[in-house]
Amino acid sequence: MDIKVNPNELIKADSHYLRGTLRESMADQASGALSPDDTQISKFHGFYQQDDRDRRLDRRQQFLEPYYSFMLRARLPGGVCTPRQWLAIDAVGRELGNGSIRLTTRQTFQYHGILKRNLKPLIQRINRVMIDSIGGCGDVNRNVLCNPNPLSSTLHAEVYDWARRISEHLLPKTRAYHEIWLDGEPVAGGESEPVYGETYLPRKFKTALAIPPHNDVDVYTNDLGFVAIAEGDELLGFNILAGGGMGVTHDDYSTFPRLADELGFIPPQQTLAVAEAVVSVQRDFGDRTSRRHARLKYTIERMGLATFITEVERRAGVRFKPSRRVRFTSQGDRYGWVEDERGRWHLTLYVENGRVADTPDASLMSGLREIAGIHQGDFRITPGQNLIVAGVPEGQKAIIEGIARRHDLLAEGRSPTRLASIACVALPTCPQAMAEAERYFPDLLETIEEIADRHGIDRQAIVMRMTGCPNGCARPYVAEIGLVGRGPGRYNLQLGGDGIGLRLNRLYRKNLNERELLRTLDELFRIYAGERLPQERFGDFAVRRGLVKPVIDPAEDYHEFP
Amino acid sequence: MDNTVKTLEDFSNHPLERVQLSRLLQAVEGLDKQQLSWASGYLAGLGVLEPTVAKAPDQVPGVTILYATQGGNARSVAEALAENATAQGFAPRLVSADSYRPRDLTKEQVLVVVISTQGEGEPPESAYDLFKYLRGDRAPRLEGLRYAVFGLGDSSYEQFCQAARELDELLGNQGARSLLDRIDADVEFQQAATNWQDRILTELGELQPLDQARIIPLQRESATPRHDRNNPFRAALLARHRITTADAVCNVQHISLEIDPAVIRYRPGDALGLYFQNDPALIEEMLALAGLAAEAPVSLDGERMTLGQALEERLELTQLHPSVVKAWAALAGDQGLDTLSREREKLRTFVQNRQFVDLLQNHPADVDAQGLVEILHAQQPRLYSIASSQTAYEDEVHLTVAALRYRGHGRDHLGGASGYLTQRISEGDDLGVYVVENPSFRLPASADIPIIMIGAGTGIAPYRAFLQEREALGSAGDGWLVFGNRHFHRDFLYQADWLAYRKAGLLNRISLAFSRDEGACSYVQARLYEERAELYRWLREGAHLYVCGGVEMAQGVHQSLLAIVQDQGGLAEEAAVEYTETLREQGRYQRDIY
Repeated sequence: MDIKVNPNELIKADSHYLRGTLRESMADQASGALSPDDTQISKFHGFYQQDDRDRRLDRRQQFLEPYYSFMLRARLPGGVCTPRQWLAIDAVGRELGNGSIRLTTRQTFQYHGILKRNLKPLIQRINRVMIDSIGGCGDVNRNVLCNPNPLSSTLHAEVYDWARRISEHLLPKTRAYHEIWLDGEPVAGGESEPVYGETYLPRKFKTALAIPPHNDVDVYTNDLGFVAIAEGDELLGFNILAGGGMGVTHDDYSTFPRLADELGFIPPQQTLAVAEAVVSVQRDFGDRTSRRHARLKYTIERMGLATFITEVERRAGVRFKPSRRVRFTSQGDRYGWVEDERGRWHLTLYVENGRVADTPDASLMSGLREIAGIHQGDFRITPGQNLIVAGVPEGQKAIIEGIARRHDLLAEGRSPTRLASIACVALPTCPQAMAEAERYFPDLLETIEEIADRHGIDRQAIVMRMTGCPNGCARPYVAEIGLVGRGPGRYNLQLGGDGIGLRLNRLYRKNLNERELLRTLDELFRIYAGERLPQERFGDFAVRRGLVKPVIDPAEDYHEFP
Repeated sequence: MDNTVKTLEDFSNHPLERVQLSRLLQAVEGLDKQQLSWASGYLAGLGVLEPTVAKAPDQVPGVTILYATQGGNARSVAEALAENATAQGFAPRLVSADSYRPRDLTKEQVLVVVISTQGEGEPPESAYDLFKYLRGDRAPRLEGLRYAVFGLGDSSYEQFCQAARELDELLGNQGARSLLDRIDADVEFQQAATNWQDRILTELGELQPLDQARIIPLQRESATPRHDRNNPFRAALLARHRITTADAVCNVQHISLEIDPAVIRYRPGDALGLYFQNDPALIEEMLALAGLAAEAPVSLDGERMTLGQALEERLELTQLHPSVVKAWAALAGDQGLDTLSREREKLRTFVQNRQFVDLLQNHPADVDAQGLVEILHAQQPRLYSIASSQTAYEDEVHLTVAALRYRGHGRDHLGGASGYLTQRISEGDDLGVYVVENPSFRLPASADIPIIMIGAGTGIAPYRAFLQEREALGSAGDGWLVFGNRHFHRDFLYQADWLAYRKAGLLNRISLAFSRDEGACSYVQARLYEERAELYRWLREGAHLYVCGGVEMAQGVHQSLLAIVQDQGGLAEEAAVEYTETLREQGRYQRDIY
């Protein structure tokens, strides 16, 4: 057999536990880039090399290398940070990034436009407020998601604590990050990675914890999911899910999005053992020849679910109990104020596409800074790229709401569909992007809102998600309407998510330009307005009406196209 | 007469290929004694000239496989083809479109292209230059070219394989003949690629015998006209474009001119002298101030022409000479100006930031057309260090030109030549040029000797020529570039070239000083001193040191060098001076200062 491991595996193996030649790359003044191999290693340290694609052609003509900069993504389990941390995050973004902060669909923040010479100072600055970027990207467990706004704050505290512990437990143990960025002493003698080994995982690995009935973390789209089972405020344990994932390669029918399978129920004390066992099975059985097929979802398809479960049980030393019944009712954020059982208030702010910046038209960044200056609770970044001001005492409600209103941070006045929708960063910075998303989506939505308005369905929220490529950062395959970039100005239109993240959508029309897309949506909205049942969501309608067949087994039927 | 034609077997140990020998025998068949004698001399002469044509096999590659890739597929198809072609005994040249010089198309015999298409039918970015060239008015005829195109695309797009289609058409339009019909391959392209590859190899196999018949061109016999400042060569502008970003302080442009290599020869380190056209806007302003008409007839060096013509092409308008000020002061009867023009130093300062138009404006005088022509000097040619090596670009000269701009005395001033070269000249325009040899700024005689190249701003230009030369000659010597400018991201001139040379092993060290970047080292002399141990080590290993740039910078570097030698060599100041003097005498410390 002629099988070669993919080149990334060799780079990892040769990296001496993620050191690579990062020091040399950083010291090279003649280029704003890293050496090619180091661009792979840097991901494990939380940052990606990017270049301004709008400037590529000009700079090539100018005999200049591309305008390289870096995107750094922090590790922030459950998206929780303190006001003091937020002030530091904000200052760093203004001084060492491109002046903005992005809240991500994985409940953390990232900086764009960091020049190479500013990387080390930036990492040191966030480290001063106890934030790191280890595993922000790379083939390891990524930032752990946790429902940020449950009905019970006691329960949240407990589940969040598990999120934090899982994140710590699955953190790479190499000292490379401390040595290179924080001037830590080099380790004497041998080093090891007890969980990962020296080649880490075959691919990224995503973990989420959901607290029903909210599925804002889209728990089924993660490699590893924990669904909290509680009685009142008391956590009984978790239903364990495994094998979800979004990423697809256009026209490669061996790739598909997949929702996670249920493995069974465990009590809380088995959490870390099970998390480590799932990771280690993926480490040992995951595909290291093809990165397209390296996520856990393909490993499970290959092994078979039963074999996979047996292996996890054996490694964790547990027996799964039957999964408990749960009910999810929503997939998006709940905007506005919510009071918890202890009488504290939580305000979910609206941050369009997670873009925190001051522009001539808006002052979001200043507004959040002002709130952080007086807030006494904490902040929580949501999986919908929004921000929750959490734990506000009754007496401060009015002040905080006042600031939020002044800086246009409240949801009010926006269409339910806009509030339910997300888009990824895409052009011009993301190297994966094939089409626009974040900087195009708000305008496109305006037109779509007009169409919805015309058909009288403007009061109905439709979960709509746009990505610039098929990798799925904004989880477009569980949206009621997914728009997946194929090329400049061209999108695949996906229909049929259920609005709560329990059903995959399906390709409805391929490669539409804006005119075709709007015409198609106009027609779909017309049918929906005329034929929907009371309370029927658009995605459910699309399936019932037979516009798309529901996806039953994506490995088999995902690529059936009407 | 039956002369001495023999069969192959009569020659043992001949160095010719079978086919070459048979052609030679054919060629001499039927020649008489006198003709044979002449031919033998001719052939011997060719042998002596051989070194100048030694590169012929490289310049005339049999088969070039060119790829323009978006996601890497085109590249892999091209690489596979190259590999198989090589295995079958061809010597293809595999090259990515972004490293390919479109003008080389005319030298190709067989061109095989693998190209993908972007979303809306655009060619990949790497093929931008190639397409621009072929779409343009100056695309050459390509009758001698046989080509094949393999397109990669996605049939779900309307513009399926558009880039391949367009390229096919463009090449066809220029007279190139296709070797095989174009293939437009879809997302699943492998099978199509394999089939196509087989067909290409078959076609190449049939072409091969033709290909072997390379004919060495006859040397031209005519006496070479010598081009100098009195007899400049008319060089056409091939291209010019800005190489600093739009937000850079200085507009620096890369200029390429077309020359005839038979009459224009230059070496790395040489400069190009050139004449330029003055700015029509400036001329208009001058005429208005003087109250004269462009059509006014004048006589210049015995030639009749209009005043406008004289001002545009023949007279010096932008560099103000002290003697012109003096003459003007007398004509204007301007007391103040007259006094000033008697004081040499003041006059020097006065002319430094003024042009003749400032005199017209601020010190008006009555002057007629002929009077104006006589008071002005003839245009001075300007010199620019050449930024290319003729070994690499035989028929081109590259220049690195910074637009000179300053404000003063109530108006904007634009440099004469730099304004012409960076703002007004357009492709196809020609200008008078000649080579100015610079024997005191030469690469070491041996290609193995390390070189340290220090330059600021456009002073970097000759080093591009140096490294092009070393690359073309396959030199093994080490190189160290020390460069200073304002901003890393905006005006790191030719950055991509230096990075490529570093990758190729021609540059081992790049040291930079960007004066306006936060936290960066400010000037090259300071950067040099920081790296003094390394510099001294290089000098001890026999490195040659080059400095190119303005006077101030050169002085700074010199002071730095003296300090380094004292610090590292433990020398007293006097001994350090002697050390640098010795370097100069040995030709190891060469400067090009302007």
